Amino acid sequence: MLAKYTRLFFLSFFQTLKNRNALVGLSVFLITCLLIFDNLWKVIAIRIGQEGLNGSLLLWYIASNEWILVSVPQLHEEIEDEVKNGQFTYMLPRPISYLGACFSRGLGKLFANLIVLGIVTFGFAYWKTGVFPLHPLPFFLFLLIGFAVGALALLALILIGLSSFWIGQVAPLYSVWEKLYLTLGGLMIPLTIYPDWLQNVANATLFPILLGERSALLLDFSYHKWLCVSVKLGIWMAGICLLITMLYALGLKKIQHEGG
Amino acid sequence: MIHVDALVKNFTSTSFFRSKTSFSAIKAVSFSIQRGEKVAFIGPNGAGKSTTIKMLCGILYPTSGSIKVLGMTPWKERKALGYQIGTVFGQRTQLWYHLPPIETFDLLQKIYEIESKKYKKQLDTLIETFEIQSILHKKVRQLSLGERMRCEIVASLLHRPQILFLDEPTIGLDINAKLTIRRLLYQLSKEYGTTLFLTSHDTADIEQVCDRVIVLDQGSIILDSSLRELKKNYIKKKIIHLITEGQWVCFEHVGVKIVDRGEHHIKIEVNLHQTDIDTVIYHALKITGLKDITIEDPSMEEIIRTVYAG
Repeated sequence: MLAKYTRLFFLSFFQTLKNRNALVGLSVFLITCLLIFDNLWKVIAIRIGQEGLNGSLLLWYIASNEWILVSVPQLHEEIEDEVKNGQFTYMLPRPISYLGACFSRGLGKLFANLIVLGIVTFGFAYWKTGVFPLHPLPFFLFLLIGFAVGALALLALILIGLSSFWIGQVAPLYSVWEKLYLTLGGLMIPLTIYPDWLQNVANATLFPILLGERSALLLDFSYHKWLCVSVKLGIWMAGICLLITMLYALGLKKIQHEGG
Repeated sequence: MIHVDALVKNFTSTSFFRSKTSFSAIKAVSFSIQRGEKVAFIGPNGAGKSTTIKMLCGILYPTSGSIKVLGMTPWKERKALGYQIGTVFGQRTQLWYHLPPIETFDLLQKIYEIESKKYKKQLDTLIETFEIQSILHKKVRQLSLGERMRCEIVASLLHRPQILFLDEPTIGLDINAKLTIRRLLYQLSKEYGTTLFLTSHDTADIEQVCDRVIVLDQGSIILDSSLRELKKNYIKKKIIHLITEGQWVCFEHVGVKIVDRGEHHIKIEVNLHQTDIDTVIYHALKITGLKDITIEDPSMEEIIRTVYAG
């Protein structure tokens, strides 16, 4: 039963790896972003008088954020296309779940990106700083959670993609998502700079798990913190899966009434 | 194999201010299809062909009426039915664009849970039948439309479906590719007994592949007959070419209209309501110096146009 999804995963995984030009492009983009944000954070650190942020681990923290941010494939665009051009309906008669197929192929792409960009980004951080932030086991656990977080981001993009049943173009919605992701996730500036109420708002969303809170494990790792992030991650995943299922069912209902 | 009874499908569209408008895409359609039949399901744009196919595949459920495909209710047992039917949609693709067709075939083996030995055997047979050995490892984006369509059909047949739904399978193809696809479909149905349910705007698809025609117009069936019956009942005229030794020959007869005339030939249209073909031929043979005579049926396109016109 799972063989079909595994095959889809590997097909997408190896196809992404074969597309070397795209991976080189993403790597260059990632390194550029890394340098920009590294300098931005250094300036902010001086402005707010937290020179402590200016340490070598800062680059690792930003690298960890960028790693996820750049690796997650734009699955919402594919879903939007399939819904809008009707391809989606023609996939329904096959004995495979559309959502499962979407997730599997997205996951294949995501994992290929995470592996390649992980080597690039963390290799670059090590080369620039000369330090390795964690011992092997915690680092392995940190990477593991990175892959899970990528899957959560992918699920969120599926949710955005499915909204095309109603709003047609999902680009504006994605744009809002992206802005919230960067600001409430703690990439643009540290979450600690925000007023308390905004920090509370940010912590009530999934964005810190996707970026800041997870990346902070690199700076101050403990198994307890790792477990906390994992539990929150699990809760968000379950919640988004539920929303996806509901939205998908409503989308199918809409097709029944308005045609495919 | 397929049993459709009093099928109705209404769609509603909701405007920005929530006012709903409803329209009937399918109005009380009924038909049955037996195993191995090759049925052309035709009609003008917006007649409801695609909606019907979508309901037969389980994509849409009807507003009322019933459908049984291979004993299953499509929209309730869509996944189970998926293992038994194949679909080819001329304007859609199930092949991975950046990969060679063989990769998609291998993926479909997993999707349809085909046993390895059976898959290998079926694939080998299809590769030979559809002559795709040379393009099997070429990326799909590098294939011509005709080659791609051959691969699409192979992809739909890997799991040995009992019914193959084809929605405009020859759209956009050149004449040679069209001929190949038609020949292969005919061969497929003959050899494996696969039931074909085909929609097309190309009447040659109907003529060369199918043995039965269902004509749909504005959501209702206006004709359901065998191809032979259709021709018999709807051929209202015949075209006769006469080649003569004499120059500028004239031909006058009730129910006969001269369509074209040259120095040594004359083309006439015979209205079968006004006269019969035997009488016209009898008179034509009396022409002095008649060298050749050819009788033509009107094109299938013209016949279909007559059906649409009522």
